[in-house]
Parts: sequence; C-alpha cells; structure tokens
Amino acid sequence: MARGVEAFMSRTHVGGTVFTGAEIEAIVQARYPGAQVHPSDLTGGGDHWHVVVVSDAFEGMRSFQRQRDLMPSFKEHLATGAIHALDLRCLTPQELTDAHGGEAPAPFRPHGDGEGEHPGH
Amino acid sequence: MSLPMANGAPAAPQDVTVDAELKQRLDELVKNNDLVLFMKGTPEQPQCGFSARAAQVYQATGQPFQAINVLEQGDNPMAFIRSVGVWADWPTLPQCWVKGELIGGSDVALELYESGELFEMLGVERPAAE
Repeated sequence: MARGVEAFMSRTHVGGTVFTGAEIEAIVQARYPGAQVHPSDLTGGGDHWHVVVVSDAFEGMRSFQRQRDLMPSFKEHLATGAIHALDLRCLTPQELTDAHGGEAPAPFRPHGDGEGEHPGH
Repeated sequence: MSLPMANGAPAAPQDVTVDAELKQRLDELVKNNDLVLFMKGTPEQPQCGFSARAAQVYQATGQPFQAINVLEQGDNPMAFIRSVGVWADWPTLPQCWVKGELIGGSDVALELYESGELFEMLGVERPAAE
C-alpha cells in the first residue's frame, strides 16, 4: 500500500489497524462460530460497514435482540472511532433463503449511490 | 471522534457515565412520548442516510414524534452522542424509541413499520393509503 494512502487512512482513527472484511468476519465468528459473514465496506475507508451475518443461532431471536447480542463485540471499536458506522443484518439460513433467494442482501447505502432510501431487499 | 490512546489502550466505554440530570431528562423524554427518535440532523434536513430512513418511517406512521437532533444538543455533540449511547446501552444512531422501549435502529423501525407491528405497539391504525 502506498504511503500516501496509509496516511489518509490513519486520519480516521488513532493508531491501530484499518479494518478489513476478514477482521470483521473474525470478530463476528468469535461470537457466532460457524456463522457466514458478508461484510461490505461502504466507503472503502474501513470504517463504515454493512455486515450480513447468517447463523442458526439467531433462531427464535427478534431482529434487535440479535443485534444487541452481537454489538458488544464491536463496542470498543465504535468507541475509539476505528469503526464509525456499523449496520448489522442478522439472519437465519431460512430467512436468507426466504427473503433473498440465498444471496446476501445488498447493503443499504446511506451516503447515496442513486438507489434512494430504501434498503436493498 | 477519536479518544486518546495510551499504549494502544483506548478509553473504555465503561469509563463514561451519564450525568444524572441528563439521564433523568432522557428517561422522562421516552416515558412521556410514544415516539422518540435520536437522529443526526432533523427530519427535514437529516445529516445521515440511516437517520433519514428512520425519520421517514416515523413520519409515515402519521403519529406525532419527538426528533432529537444529537448534533444540536449543546456545544459538544460528541459528548452528547456518547452519553446517549451509554444511557441506552446502544452505541449507534439513529435510536428509535417506541413507548419507552428502544426498538433498534432504522432497519428495525422499517421492519416493524412494514410488518404492522409498529402500529400494534402504538395502538393505532396504519394511515389509509393515499
């Protein structure tokens, strides 16, 4: 990676690493081993993430409860500003099939790319 | 927002406590209003797409709601945002409150709106389609 890009990225948080999809996946799987994780870096800067998590463990849990269960894993990174925005979409395998034909739902892009305000699914 | 890091250790979220007076104001706000939205910007001029989506959902209910612009609460928005996060034990915005309960962010609000559950929680009818 060019030095200039590193310097740019280091402006979004102090020290530490820039998050990659692999790191997001690792954080989620530490909480939900075996989950399928589909992270999307919304801005390319490693600090705005839409993450689809597919796991049987969510069975019987309401949407917000699933997020409540997973969010503590990210709390520190949100507090330091290493992650500025985090949109968690937690689904069971059946829900993924039912609603999205088995494909991970497209991320809601709040910064706009012409799709408007409605979520991708 | 970045907190000072000593030896790579960030200031822990649990070090932050909510001012008692602010906590009381926030508690009363969600207790006394069926629909409360903590957002960035206003429903007319949202400053974030997620907040915009939440405001749209709240507007679509046809019910009155309180919209708190976290960016305009005193001279230290980051401190207020952090306090709201600690108070609610939920670190992201927007925060959607219905009948004194944090139901989640804009995605959950939209889900509950579309399923009709939001109207059940409020005890009102969905507005007739125009």
